[in-house]
Amino acid sequence: MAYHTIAYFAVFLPVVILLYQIVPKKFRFAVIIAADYVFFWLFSGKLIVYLICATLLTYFIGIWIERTALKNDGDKKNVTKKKRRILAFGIAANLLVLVVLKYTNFFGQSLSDLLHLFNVDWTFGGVKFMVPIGLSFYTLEIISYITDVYRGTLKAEHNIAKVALYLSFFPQIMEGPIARFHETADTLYAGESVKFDNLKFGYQRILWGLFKKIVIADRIYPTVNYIFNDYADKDGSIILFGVVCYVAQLYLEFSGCMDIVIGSGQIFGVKLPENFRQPFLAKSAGEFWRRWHITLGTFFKDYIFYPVSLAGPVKNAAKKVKKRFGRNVSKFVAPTAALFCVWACNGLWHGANWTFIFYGMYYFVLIFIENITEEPVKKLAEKLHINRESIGYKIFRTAKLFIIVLVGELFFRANSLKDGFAMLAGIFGNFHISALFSNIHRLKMDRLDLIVAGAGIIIVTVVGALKEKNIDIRQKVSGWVVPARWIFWYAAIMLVVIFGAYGSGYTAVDLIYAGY
Amino acid sequence: MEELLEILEDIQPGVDYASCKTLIDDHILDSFGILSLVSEIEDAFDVEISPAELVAENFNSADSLWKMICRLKGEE
Repeated sequence: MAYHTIAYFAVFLPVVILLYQIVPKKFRFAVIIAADYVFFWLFSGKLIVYLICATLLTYFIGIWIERTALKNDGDKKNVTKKKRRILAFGIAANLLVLVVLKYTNFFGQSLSDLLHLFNVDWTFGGVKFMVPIGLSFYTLEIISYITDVYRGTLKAEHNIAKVALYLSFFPQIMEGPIARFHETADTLYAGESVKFDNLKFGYQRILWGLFKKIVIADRIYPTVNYIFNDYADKDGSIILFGVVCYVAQLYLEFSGCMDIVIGSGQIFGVKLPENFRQPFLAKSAGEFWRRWHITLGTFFKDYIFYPVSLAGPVKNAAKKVKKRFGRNVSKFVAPTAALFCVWACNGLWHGANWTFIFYGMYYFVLIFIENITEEPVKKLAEKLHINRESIGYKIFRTAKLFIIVLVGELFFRANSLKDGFAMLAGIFGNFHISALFSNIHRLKMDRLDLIVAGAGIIIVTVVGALKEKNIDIRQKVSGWVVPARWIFWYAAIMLVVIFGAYGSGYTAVDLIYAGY
Repeated sequence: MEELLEILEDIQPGVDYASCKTLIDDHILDSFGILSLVSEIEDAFDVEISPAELVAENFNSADSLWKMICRLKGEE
């Protein structure tokens, strides 16, 4: 029952809304928790015990930190030390579960490969673990909660129901967004009635998400699979087409899912944080990541980038560099060390595979280069009288960003690092555009698929461009006269019903980020 | 306050720091700028800034930065 299925948006969600609305206000939070756990159980069954244990642990760690802070015996340093130990225990306990369940096989296999290089005959047999849904997402939410309590920016929650609501809210358990405690828990616990406007706007947002996911992304999916799984005998132009399709599929699927998730939250009055902000309109790779999977980026910024940058050893290293080379060089030390940690974690978080680690390091290097060349490039452009706001420069900047994103996503999706490099070599070494045009209908998309996917991408692009200019289509439509409004929404529903990729001949496509 | 304004001007010139209240919200200071600022403030005012202090409320204006510095000095 993924978010884009009829079972979710036409059965499960309406039933939860109905039950939520008919029970007294003070028990509505219990309906949400019950819905959360039923939803979790439907995917992961008995593995729900992981979520329950994580919730209990988070609750007690929060209170433990708070009590330690209150036992202030005048020795502030000692209290901080004790609090830090509890925080470290809380983070380690949660990360241990994540690492064991998701990374044991990867680390075991990597160790085995390494030992073989030194002629040590040890082969890792592999261990099969069942991984509960949303593990990577709720683990980050736990770290966020207990760290905020440790920092004193959040009070420890004494009502376990609120902690449970925060960690298990069913619309966001599978793919995020990674929310902060204050963004969901209190509103969900308050149990306010479902407002008509929230219901209307929520379902409109869900419809927009379905359009992105089942009309466009799922239509492109077979082509992506076909090209990535069998690229060896294909021309570079076809491989490039496959990579372009994958970027479109990934963005439309993940952002479409976020629309469904945020729309579901809105129905219950919860304003979940946005995860995308027109990423392809970014001016640089760094900005791209401030617009793509925003909540993961802000998590890494708040809980890895800043703490690493301000860590004693990093600051000392920066001071030494400053003494020797001056501020212009030393200013890069702390951010670069922190950036490396962020991107190593970003790569690993996406999965236990060298392709993801490469992906992380790829962006680390690119953003590092962007940072150190920003000032020189600006000065060079001034010297050469290049107008960085001219259309020509903007086209150059957009083309550069697209190449960066395409190469990154090629490795992200490639079946192995070796395959990724082979595909890249294919694009640069054996590129004949005529091969793509003559084979376009043999790439698992027929003429109708190509037209619908192409038109869909144009619609999403136009809506995104308008949104960038603060023009909201939904708000505009809500101001129309009733018949026009009804015609618009009826047409939108019909568009999804008629052109959605489902039914016989189509395989249900799992949500990509649900696997992370 | 004068010293703080000089530091800000040095890190990111061309901004009216005396009146600007949206240094973070309008992305005038990015993560790199914030870290440079933290390093300079720590050296100039002999305070230690923890990650918990790196929030928009503290960094959105010279005034809020100054309040944070005074608070941290008072806590020591």
